[in-house]
Amino acid sequence: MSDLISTQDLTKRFDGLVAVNQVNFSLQEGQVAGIIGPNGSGKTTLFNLLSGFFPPSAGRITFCGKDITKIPPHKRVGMGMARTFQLVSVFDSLTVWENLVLSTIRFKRDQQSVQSFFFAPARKRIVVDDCLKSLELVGLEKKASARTSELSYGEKRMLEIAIGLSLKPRVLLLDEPLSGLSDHEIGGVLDLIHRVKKNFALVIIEHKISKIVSVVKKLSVMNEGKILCEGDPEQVLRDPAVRECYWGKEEENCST
Amino acid sequence: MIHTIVYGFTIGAILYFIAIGLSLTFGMMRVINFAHTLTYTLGVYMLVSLGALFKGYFVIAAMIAVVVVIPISYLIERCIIRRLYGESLDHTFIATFAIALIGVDTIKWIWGVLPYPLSDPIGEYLTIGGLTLPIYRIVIVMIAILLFIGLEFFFRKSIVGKIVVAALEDRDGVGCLGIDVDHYFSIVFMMGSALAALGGVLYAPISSVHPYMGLSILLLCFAVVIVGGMGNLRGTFVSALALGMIMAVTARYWSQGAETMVFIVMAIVLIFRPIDI
Amino acid sequence: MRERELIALLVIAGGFLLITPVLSVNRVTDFMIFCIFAMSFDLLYGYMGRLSFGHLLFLGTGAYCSGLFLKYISRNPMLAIIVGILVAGLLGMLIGLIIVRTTGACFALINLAFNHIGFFLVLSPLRRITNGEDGFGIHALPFGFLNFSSRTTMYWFVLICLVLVFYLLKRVTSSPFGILIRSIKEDETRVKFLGYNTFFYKWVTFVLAGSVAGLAGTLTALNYNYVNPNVMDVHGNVGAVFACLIGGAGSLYGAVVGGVSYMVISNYLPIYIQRWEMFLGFALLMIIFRFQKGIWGYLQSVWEYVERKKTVMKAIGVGAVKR
Ligand SMILES: Nc1ncnc2c1ncn2[C@@H]1O[C@H](COP(=O)(O)OP(=O)(O)OP(=O)(O)O)[C@@H](O)[C@H]1O
Ligand SMILES: [Mg+2]
Repeated sequence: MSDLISTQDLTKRFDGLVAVNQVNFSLQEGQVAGIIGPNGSGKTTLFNLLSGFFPPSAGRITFCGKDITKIPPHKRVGMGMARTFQLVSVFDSLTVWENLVLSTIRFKRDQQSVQSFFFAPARKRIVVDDCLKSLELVGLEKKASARTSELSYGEKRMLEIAIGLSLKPRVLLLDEPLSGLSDHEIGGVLDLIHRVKKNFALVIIEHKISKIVSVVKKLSVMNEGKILCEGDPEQVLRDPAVRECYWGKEEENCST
Repeated sequence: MIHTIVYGFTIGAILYFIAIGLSLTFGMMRVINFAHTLTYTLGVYMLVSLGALFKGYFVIAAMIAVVVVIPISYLIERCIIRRLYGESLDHTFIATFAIALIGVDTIKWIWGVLPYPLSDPIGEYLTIGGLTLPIYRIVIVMIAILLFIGLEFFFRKSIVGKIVVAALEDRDGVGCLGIDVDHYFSIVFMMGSALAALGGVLYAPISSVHPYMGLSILLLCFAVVIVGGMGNLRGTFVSALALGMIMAVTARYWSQGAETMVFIVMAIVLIFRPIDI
Repeated sequence: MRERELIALLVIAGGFLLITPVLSVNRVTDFMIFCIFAMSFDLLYGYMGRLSFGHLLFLGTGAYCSGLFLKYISRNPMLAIIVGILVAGLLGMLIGLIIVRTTGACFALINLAFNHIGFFLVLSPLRRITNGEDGFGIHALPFGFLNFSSRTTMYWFVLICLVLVFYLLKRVTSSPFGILIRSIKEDETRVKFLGYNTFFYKWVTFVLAGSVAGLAGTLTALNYNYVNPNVMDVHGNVGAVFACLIGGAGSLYGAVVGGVSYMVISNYLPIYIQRWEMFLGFALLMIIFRFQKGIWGYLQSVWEYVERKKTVMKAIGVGAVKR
């Protein structure tokens, strides 16, 4: 099977700091991969490079067999790459369903026409129904017309994932989807991931390793910008180098 | 040609006096202060009144005028500007503009709307090799250069100066050291206002005095601050002199184009080096 | 949806008709033109979150282009209006390519710079055709039964333009595109990651706002039968910002309410209060520190409060019955 995403010697420097250092990361169609690593090891920076948030200092990124190193972010989304942010980013000033309008109508042929995009009301049956469907998936349909600023943090995270899903991605990049959530909410997110993971490839950055070990098929460990070790989760976690970089910090998680 | 150069430096010097405060206010508090030139106008009107009192003693009148502006600027800072910290651009714009409106109207109330004529307090000319130059303009340029050197020392050597420079870089970082940035900002704000008043006092005798004089020079000072870099003191000095020179040279060949040239330069600078707030 | 839109349009037209006997036909025509301008400004500022200090450039371009067209080329007023809008739109397309890349203060000031340049162009280099600061008079021939030199015709024509512009902008702002520009206001980067080329949509908004302002300009020219550089005086931009803030930014109703309020203040206050600028200053400080949402925003939150109270009351009432 060919790689969906692959990077060649991907590097990002911020002044003196090398945040991502010659990373060769690859992901196959439909694969669920996890990335772990201590704070500041360059995980989010890697996502930012993949999604085109900023250009790499060196190296190449290939997606679906095409070189996308120089392609702007919105085109990458069009090719099927969706992401979420470490700090939840949804539109607080809009209502919950309005948050989903933009991502939903991208994939409706009849909504692509200039007339319906610029002049037809957004509050139309076909659009709203689709938004509601996406909201049902994450269990937020009851709050569809609430202001987003009134949602709890966990609900916002769910909403953000729903936005990602409604982009119908070929790969979804989740940046710490569990951070800052209560145990109950974590259960909800994990359940959602289990339900949708068969549809596309998934990359999850997470500190709570024990929670995602059961989901991911491949685990990469980053440290100081480099991929330290990669492969089957069980084996990776037994690797002494990984244990050392996590030593003391995440020991209880590693030992699961 | 020499004339043009001297005129350019004079305008540049005046712009420098006014722009310092604008640049510092922005650099430290991220507030764009449209009321900044209010103190400039106020200084001039103080001079108008005091000049009548101290007939013939221009320097004394000018000094008192500048000093009188300081408590007023303290009030403005305390009551309005400080509350705008962290507000969005449009709200600070409206609030500071409102202050300018109130101030200008107060001036109209007290002094009336008619322009006042003021004459060159030195009135003598220097003649070098067939060229006659008004000494007053040369004095203005001298003061500007001295001020620049003085400020350089102030910001490098004094504690207050060092704190301000650090706060320009990283306001929150300085706050974390347990230093009350707001307090120093007050000082800087008053200093900037006093300098603007000084600019006004020096410029008034060679320009016209009317209540809206502050508004017309404000936009030019914005251009100076943008070109020089917000919060960059040396940049402000260089850009003030450069833009003053551009104005003088343009005016020599095409008098109406002078101000526009400044805005063209500003647009070009903004295109190639956008500021982000 | 349709009905609500119709009602809104009727309410706005009715509102202007109602204030006409109180004020005067001339004044209200002026007010309505300013409201069109305020709405175009609000599209940029209230909806997309880009504050411009140079929006009058487009109004001036519209006024000058239609005026010059009437003076030198043809005296057909309809063609002049179209020319004014088109040229303002074209100018928006051109300088928009540069301007919309910027945000915040940079956006505001670069607009200001262009406005200044435009003002200067009509004042001095183009003096031969624009007659510099004195401006020039224009005379439009009647178009069909529309005689533009009649005050009442002008009044009705502007009223219809206002309603049409309101309708157009209402449609645009409640479409997905409207959601898009509101999203750009909040977080442009995030919108890029929803797969939209934000540059393009910002540019479209800029051009649209410019064209509508151009329309306001052509109407100004026709209304006064006269054009001079004051139509794009840089300092006039303050009016639009005030109007949007007084009324409540980010809502077309707010722009209209604010536009009328600002015009009433600036036209009538000086008659009754000599120190009206001071009064306006204090009023604005009040708005900034107390009523940031403006008149319309305030009304809206009162409305929301009442609605909520009603539902709560109902809930309690229903519970009581069950028990
Ligand atoms: N835009 C930026 N400019 C400068 N330095 C940056 C930037 N973004 C990240 N860095 C630096 O790059 C390094 C890697 O950051 P990154 O956010 O990728 O870490 P991370 O692995 O996601 O950590 P965490 O687990 O805390 O999210 C950090 O030292 C950070 O300070
Ligand atoms: Mg991170």
